[in-house]
This record gives sequence, C-alpha cells and structure tokens, in this order.
Amino acid sequence: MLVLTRKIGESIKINEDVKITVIDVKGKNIRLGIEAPRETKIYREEVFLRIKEENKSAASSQQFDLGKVSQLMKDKLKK
Amino acid sequence: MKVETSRFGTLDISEKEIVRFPEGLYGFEKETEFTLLPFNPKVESPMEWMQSLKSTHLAFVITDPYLYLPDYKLKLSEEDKKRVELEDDDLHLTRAIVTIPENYYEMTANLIAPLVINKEKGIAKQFVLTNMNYDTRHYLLPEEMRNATATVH
Repeated sequence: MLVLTRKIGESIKINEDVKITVIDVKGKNIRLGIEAPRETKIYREEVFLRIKEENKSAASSQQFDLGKVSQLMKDKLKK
Repeated sequence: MKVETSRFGTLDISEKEIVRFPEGLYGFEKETEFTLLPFNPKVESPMEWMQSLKSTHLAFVITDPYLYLPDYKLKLSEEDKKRVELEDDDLHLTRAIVTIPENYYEMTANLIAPLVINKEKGIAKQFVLTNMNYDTRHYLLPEEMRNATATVH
C-alpha cells in the first residue's frame, strides 16, 4: 500500500481526473473532499461488506412456507 | 445440460436459460451461472428463484423492485451497460434479492445492490448504487401489514 502524509488543505491526485483533498481533521474523524468525473463511482467501503452479509442471509433464509408466502405476495400485488 | 438442485430436483437447462454473472455475486464470487425458475408453479407470483448451476443447495429469491417502488431509480451509465453488454436499454431486467426471515411478513429486498440481467445475452451483474436512499433491507410489506401479523405469529 502506498502511504502518503498530507496536511489539511492538501490533496492527492489519482490519474489526471480524480482529486482527493483533506478538508478537516477532528479527533479521529477526517473529512475528505473528492473531485472526480460524474461517472466515477465512489462508495463507503462498509456498503460492500453489508451487501456480502445480506447476500449470505438471503441464501440461507429459505425455511419459509412457500405456499403461504406466494399467496401473500399474490394478494399484495392485487391491491 | 442436466443440473442437480436440492430444491427443484434435476433440471434440464438449455443454453438460453443460463444467466451468467462473470464476477459472481458479492460474497459468492465463484457462483457465475444461475437459472431463473418460477417461485411457485401453482400460484402466479412477483417472485422468482435464481438457482445456482454450480451449488445444488444455492438458490436466491428475487423480485422486480419496480413492483413495490414504482419510483425506484436505477440509472445505468454507459460503463455499466458495457459490463452486461447491453446495447438496448429495453432489453434488461432489474431484480432485487429478497431475504425471507422466519416471520416472512418481515421479508426484505436488497435495493442498494440490484441485479441487472441482459435478457438477450444472459449476462448479468450485481451493481451497487451510490444512492444513499436505498438500503440492503427494504421491507416489501407495508408497516401496518407487518404489525398486524406480528401478534398472530
């Protein structure tokens, strides 16, 4: 991993079009500003962990009554 | 091809019925081939099964998020479309993976990570939306239905 030290107000650039600036530091919190082209996808990393967990829950949560659930969803859809 | 499944027995799947996720799903990176099956052959349903062709026991329940949230927004960028080889916008399906807990009235859909399936080519990907308004657990039933049944259960 490349490790760089930056001060408040300083930035790093990734390729020509992504710029990450340290906006503020308060205790353990660091505010970052990110400038990137519109189509660049920026996520908090935790979202991927949550999605992995949710996929696993979905895969293992299958002990339900198929008849009851399908009737319920059919009724719901009619409304 | 013949596929063994624990829920549906032996299936005979044609090439056209295979949905391929070249990158797998999050947490299931090695699961790259699935097929879609009716949720319950006896009842018309907004849900479907997505059965793995590799792991006999692995099947997800999926549904069309637009049925529950008509204003659900999934905007595919040009780059996204390339990932599923989509040339014509009309030729894709959007599906959300459903988690059904023991009290099935509390079933949820994962709206932040929808599946986009190229209907024509059978290529698919689980996308992650950057829209923070959606979450991994969106209730499919309205609160009054969930509460009304909580005591019965």
